[in-house]
Amino acid sequence: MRGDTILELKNVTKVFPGVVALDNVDFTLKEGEIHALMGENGAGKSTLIKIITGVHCQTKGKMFVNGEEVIFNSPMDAFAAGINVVHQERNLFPTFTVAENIMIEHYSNKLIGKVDQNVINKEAQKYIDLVGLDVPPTKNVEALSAGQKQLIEIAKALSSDAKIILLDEPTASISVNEANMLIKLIKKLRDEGLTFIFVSHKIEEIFEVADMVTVLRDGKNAVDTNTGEISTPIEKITRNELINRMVGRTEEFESLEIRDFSDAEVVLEAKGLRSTDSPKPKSFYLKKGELLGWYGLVGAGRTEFARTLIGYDPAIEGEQIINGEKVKITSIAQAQHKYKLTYLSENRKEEGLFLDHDVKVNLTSTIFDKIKGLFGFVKLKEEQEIAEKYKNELQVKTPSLKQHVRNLSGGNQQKVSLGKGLAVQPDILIIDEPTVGIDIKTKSEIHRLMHDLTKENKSVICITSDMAEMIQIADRILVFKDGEIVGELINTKSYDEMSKKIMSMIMN
Amino acid sequence: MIKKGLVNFVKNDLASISVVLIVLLTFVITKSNPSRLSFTMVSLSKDIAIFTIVGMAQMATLAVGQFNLAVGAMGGVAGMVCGYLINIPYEGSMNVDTYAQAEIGLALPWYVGVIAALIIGFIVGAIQGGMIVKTKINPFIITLALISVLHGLNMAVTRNIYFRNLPEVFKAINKNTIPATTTPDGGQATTYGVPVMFIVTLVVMVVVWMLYNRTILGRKMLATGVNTRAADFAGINSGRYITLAHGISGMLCALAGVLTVSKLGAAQTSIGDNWMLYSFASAILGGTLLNGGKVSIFGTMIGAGIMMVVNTVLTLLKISAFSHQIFIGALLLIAFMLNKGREALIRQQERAAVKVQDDVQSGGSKNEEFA
Repeated sequence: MRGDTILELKNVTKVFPGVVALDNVDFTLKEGEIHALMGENGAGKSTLIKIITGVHCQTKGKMFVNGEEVIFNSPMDAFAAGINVVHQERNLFPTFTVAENIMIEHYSNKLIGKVDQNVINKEAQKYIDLVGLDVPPTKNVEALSAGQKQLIEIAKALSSDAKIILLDEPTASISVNEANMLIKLIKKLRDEGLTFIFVSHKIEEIFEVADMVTVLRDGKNAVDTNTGEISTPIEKITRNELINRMVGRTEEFESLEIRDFSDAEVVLEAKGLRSTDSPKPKSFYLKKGELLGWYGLVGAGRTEFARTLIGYDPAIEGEQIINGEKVKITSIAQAQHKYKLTYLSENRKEEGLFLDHDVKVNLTSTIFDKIKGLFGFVKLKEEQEIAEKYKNELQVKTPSLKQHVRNLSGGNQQKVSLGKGLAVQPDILIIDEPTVGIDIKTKSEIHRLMHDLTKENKSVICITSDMAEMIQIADRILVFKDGEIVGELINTKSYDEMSKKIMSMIMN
Repeated sequence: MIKKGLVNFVKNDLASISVVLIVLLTFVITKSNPSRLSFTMVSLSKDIAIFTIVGMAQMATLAVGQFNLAVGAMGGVAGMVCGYLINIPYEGSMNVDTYAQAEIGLALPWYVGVIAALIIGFIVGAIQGGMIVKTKINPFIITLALISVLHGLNMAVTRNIYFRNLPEVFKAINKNTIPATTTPDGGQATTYGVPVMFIVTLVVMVVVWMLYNRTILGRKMLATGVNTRAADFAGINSGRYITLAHGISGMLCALAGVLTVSKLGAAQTSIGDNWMLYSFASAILGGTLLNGGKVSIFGTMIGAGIMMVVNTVLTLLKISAFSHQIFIGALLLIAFMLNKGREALIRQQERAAVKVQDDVQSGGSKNEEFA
């Protein structure tokens, strides 16, 4: 029955060796609601999800499904209890068809059995229609967009007769349009009686989709200070109250001063620059000490353009001018050392860091040639000093410089990545999505850092898809759409005004 | 306290395999005929010397996240080049019935042969690396194809002959020990020294250790191995270091080839035929990561030691040489499984350490409550 408690966790504690991930956490889910689960990185969300989905078993505490106590020893147990999860990463077989992916759980249990494609396609079509997808069941999944794959996963969950669907950051890797469609779908399915747990970092989205919200902080329930309840109906909480519950304090919306760069000299300029991966010619300029924001949706061609500027994908046409001098950059090393132009990848785990090397090597990896002594030996003392310097400057939390970066938290990893870029002592920094997947405290530290850099007369280009962040920090904003620069705005730092202007540029 | 000590011991890369080696060695020492023990040990140390270098040749490519299936073929080619350069041709006709002995050879000084072999090894390796980088074809295919090409070239060009009339100084690398072994006329040796070959390997190990632990070249190669894309974005030209790593690998293969020629007293095309398995086994047993980015030089020697000692143990147990491979293969599987568990333990411990540190720094006290 709608409104009945369908899933309940009481005093759940999970201890990992050396750390308490969850500490007496309660959670109550009612049938037919969309329940947002929120918290910063490391707050215990993922551990709670893993307990609900049977990946981990709680150390202490009880779990009830429809009032009956359950113990999940494996994900299959949770699955059998009607709990299905759509993970942040896609778990589809790319070379299988849409129908095969949706129906994979229903394949014959016999090792050798005939798979009747027609039956599967027909059966799958029902669920494809249910999620409002417009693709034939016979299409291979690899040919679909990220958003379509997301819907396939939901269709797969529906096909398994799930009562509760857990969505872990469902909009993290899909476009805004797809996210809007997804939210509509979730609401429709809720109205038809399904129950959702919705995990997301995006506060705006939570207000749009959720009915109830439960917040975790440092492995504990962050209770509603007004009512003392662990969950709050979404209409009874404001944005600031929610942030306050997540971080234990109100988000500091530091208003950075509005600066005028009309007299400043241009340090970097592109005129009709294009490359293989960034085929549409683009022109822009960057002034000394300026923080230039590149706003756009995922896939708007910002990263590709940045990679053209640094010579990773060298320009094939157009001009690039640095400090008044026409340059042709063909390698990252050249951009870094000759032109003092550094790029920090959005994909820090794959392109930014050496996860299985220590903090010291990571911090000095961009300047190996500067710490090269006689016969190519490492100048150990300088290496240590430089690493120490950037570790302190960025306040990287690590037991020692010898710690492998893999073991650091996301925020600290990002700081190491930044430190490695700063070690080059660049004049121009291009920072790609510096605050994705990072806790709010580190986020504001990184904002402050970028601002401080511009005060030292360095110029920064910040690529971000977070509009609030962009309006908060940038001096000037370039708007990208479909691989082109469609507009330029001097940032007045007024959210309402700027966001309307930016959106109208993107919509047209 | 004891538990902590034990955990630290297991965490140490070399600890678990050192124990295995010591147990095996103890077995060899107690089971062998005392009068032959010294001889066994000298012979064993030479095998270990050669296969440590073979292991390091593999390690050099593993370090950049690649591998080299052609270690044996490269060693074989280099050995034959060295043989041809230093062989002193027989005069007059030879007994072709027994051996296809070489009537050719340039009779150059031994060091010319050795240096030329090392250079050839480096060039062949670098060509292999260059092809992998330029064509972007999977190294499995390229190194596999090169085994065939190199081995075939070796056989075709030399017509599978033996170079066995080698200069005495060259053979001395195998025979001599430091201090010199004293052998009374016609009797058993009374004192033994460390074989020159083993000392050569120790020196090479020090050089390689310096390369990976103290030089920028080593840092760059390891960075390339642990994450090639991140290396590119840090301004490190990964392609160049992959090529170089293959070159270094080829050079070490060549060195092992030359040492084998000295040990056998002859250059022949079969040199290197059984290297591939051993090269992976000793490097990885020793703690070098298959995925790249981490090397262990001393560990490679222990790994090679285990392989060679197991062979000796099997012989002592009078197990047919035909069955040795079964044991070597099984040993490898067990060792890798144990290693997997060990790695998981290290990860867990490290993470816990960081978490605790985080809590301490953020003033959290949640650990105390559950202590």
